[in-house]
Amino acid sequence: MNFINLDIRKILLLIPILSLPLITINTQQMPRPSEWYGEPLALVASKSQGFYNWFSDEVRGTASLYLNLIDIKRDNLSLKTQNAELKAQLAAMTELKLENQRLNQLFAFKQKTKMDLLGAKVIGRDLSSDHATIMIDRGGRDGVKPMQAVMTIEGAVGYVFRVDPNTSRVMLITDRYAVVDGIVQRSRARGLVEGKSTDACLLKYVNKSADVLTGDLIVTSGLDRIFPKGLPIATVELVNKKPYTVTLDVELKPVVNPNKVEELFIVRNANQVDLEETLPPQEAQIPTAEVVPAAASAASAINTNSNTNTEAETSRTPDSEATTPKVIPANPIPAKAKTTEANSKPVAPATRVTR
Amino acid sequence: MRKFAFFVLYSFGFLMLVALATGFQTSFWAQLFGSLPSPLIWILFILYLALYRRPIEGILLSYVCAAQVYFFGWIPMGLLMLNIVILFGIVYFVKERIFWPGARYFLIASLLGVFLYQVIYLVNSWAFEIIPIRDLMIAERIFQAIITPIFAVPVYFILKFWERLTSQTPLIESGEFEL
Repeated sequence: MNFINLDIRKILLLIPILSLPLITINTQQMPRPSEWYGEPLALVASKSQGFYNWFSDEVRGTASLYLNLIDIKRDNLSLKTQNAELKAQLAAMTELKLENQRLNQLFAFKQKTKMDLLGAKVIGRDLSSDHATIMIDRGGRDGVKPMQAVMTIEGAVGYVFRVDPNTSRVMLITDRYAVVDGIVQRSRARGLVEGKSTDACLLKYVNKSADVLTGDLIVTSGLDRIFPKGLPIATVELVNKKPYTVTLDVELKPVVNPNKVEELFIVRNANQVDLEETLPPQEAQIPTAEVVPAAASAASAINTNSNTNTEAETSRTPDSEATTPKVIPANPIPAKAKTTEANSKPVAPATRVTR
Repeated sequence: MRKFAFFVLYSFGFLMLVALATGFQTSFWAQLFGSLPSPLIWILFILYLALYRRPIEGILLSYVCAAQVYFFGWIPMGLLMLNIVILFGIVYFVKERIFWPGARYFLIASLLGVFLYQVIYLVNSWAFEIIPIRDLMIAERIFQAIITPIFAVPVYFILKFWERLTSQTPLIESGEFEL
């Protein structure tokens, strides 16, 4: 009996242990309704798992961060350098693009015009801020001569006053010594454009009775034999009519900002070109700043007499015909005068004052 | 003879430095900052002459500098020389009474010197020019006077260095900030 040596207690303990997986398998096969006590346990389990998952991720991430720190630093440095290079390249490309655009415009203008133009680049400004002169990279060797006009596509810039073999100095129209003969494009009132400050000019010696309004375009008259006729110079910023003077105080804003000019043209020969033909008829935006009562009464008297004296034009109010669009004739006649007298005389040009 | 040769060399170098500084002011500055008013660096050289060179030598060199600077702008030569000689005189007068060696003094002198030059120019323009200055441009002038001293210390050390290199004995020994 003893050769088998069975221990009945051990067998009894072994049976439930072995049968437990079988029972479990059997219970898994059966549909089980979710018990109320299982839900919080499941939640705790899921939270616990979630926490460990997050923790392991963080640990792995931090570890890998430290492990790759050297590589990251190197990559960062390389990318920064690359970024700086690309930025510099982009800036250079943008600059080149803008320059190309400007040069294309200049070239197209030069091809189109009949004038003999010489392109030049600004290489220096004036020593003193009280003078507005620039130095250009063209000189006597390129055929530049004193008193040649300097312009851009937009308008007049100045004129050459000192020529060296390789460079020239240009007096900008904003310099207080610069004088250009100009006319108001709309009304043909005449005056001398003189420089005032770095970005302003004055229209001087304009007859007080002349028709000058804010927003008017001043163009070159061509009579100074420097600039071709009809080249835009400036727009009227302010018209000040003082009671005891014979001329108007007109402040102008140059069409071309002399501080921003980089490339320009020297007019070697204007070939009698009238640039005004290419300009659209210009209309003033805002009427004269002030109307002097005496002038106003004089104007009304003139209007009633159907006279075409330009005094009538200076006394116009904001709601007069100055603000309404119209095609400007060479010698404009006030509307009131037109209606009252058909055969009116042309407007006398403003008195030219020589200095 | 050797001393004279060194003086000629010193003057030539000084003039070249003036040309370089004025070129920087009129061309390089304009390229970089556009219409931002440029510092009047050339005045620093005049101030240096007034402060650290003998009067006759300084005035003569100032005139040569004026002739050089004239070609960088459109200020009439006579007016430029007059401005310079007045500035030189005032600075020399002040220096005889208040002075201490070193770059710090030059820095302060440059700030006041540029202001002074602007005033001298305005007065002379109204007194002598046919078309005097029309726009005071006060903000621009103040800005110029403020930014010019930035260049005072480098100019001071460069000129001191050049002085030593060409064996020129300065009128007054320099003090602190010695190179």
